[in-house]
Amino acid sequence: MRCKRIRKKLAAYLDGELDERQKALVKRHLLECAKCRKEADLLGRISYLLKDRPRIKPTLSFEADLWRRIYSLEKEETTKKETTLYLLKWATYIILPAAVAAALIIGVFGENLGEKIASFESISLEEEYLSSIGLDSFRDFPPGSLSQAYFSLIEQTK
Amino acid sequence: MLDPDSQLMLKFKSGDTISFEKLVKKYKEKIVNVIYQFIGDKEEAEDLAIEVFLRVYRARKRYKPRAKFTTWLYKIAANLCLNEIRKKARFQTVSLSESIPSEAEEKLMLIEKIANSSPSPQDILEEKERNTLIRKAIDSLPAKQRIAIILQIYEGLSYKEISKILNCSVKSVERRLYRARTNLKEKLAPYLKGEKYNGGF
Repeated sequence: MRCKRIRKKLAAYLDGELDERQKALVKRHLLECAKCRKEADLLGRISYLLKDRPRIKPTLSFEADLWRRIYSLEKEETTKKETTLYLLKWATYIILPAAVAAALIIGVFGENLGEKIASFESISLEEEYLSSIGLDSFRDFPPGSLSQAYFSLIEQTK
Repeated sequence: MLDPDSQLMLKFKSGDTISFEKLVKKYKEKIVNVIYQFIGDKEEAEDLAIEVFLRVYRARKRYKPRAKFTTWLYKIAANLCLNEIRKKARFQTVSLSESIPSEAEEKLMLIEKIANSSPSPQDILEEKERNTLIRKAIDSLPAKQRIAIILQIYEGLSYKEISKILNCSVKSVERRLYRARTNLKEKLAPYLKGEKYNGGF
């Protein structure tokens, strides 16, 4: 059990990442336990083996390639900005006036249309009433005649 | 007190491009190598390293020196590496268990070594074989263990710095590094016995 706990600390011990107390604890254990000592030796060899791997050098064109990417990025961003400005310009000069004009037209004609609908509705109601009492067929009498006066009276009582 | 690299970055933020050039010159080799150790392909490593500096360039206006400049830089590199691995796993273009270094690159290195030869061809072949095995062993590690061990062994970063880069606790870094070494121990067993190593504990 003690070995298991110590082994989990071995990597940190080898990397110099333990505090003084833990370091002393592991060190003491390693002096006593051959198995853990062997394990520590193997873990140390791993770091050594990995550190030994060759490092590479960036190519000579690294910085030039980077700047090329930066320029193309900036160009892209400038194009995006220009497109946005162009659209805003369109919005100011064409789309906005067009929208205002459309709103005005709808406003004016919309009002007339409303009136027409309202009058159409009242005519329909009147016709519906005359037809319901069966007098719609007698409606068109000459003006000034007795029948016309009679129908006027009926309509006033509605 | 700000570290000198963060000061350079702040200068760059206020429009001094030369400061950015200085940072690129100073860190390009480190970043290329961290990515190379992680990805295993030189060309791809260089492309990703360019992407790292491109991100630094783009972030200049929002830059605030909350941590050391290198912590931020390695964080960008580590995130790119982890994303790259995820992408590869998703599209399954490269199998993680297969050798990643390009064949041509390996051959070229071998020819160069034979041309310079002080060690015998036998030694060179053995070294090539050993490097391939180490590469495979590193590639077989889970991505987070891999990046942690690369930052620790190749860059000599402390557990605390690694924890900031990987956005995790120091304990978690300790666990990852312990597991990474345990995994590597099994894969590299044939090479561990003969390695010249002076213990140190």
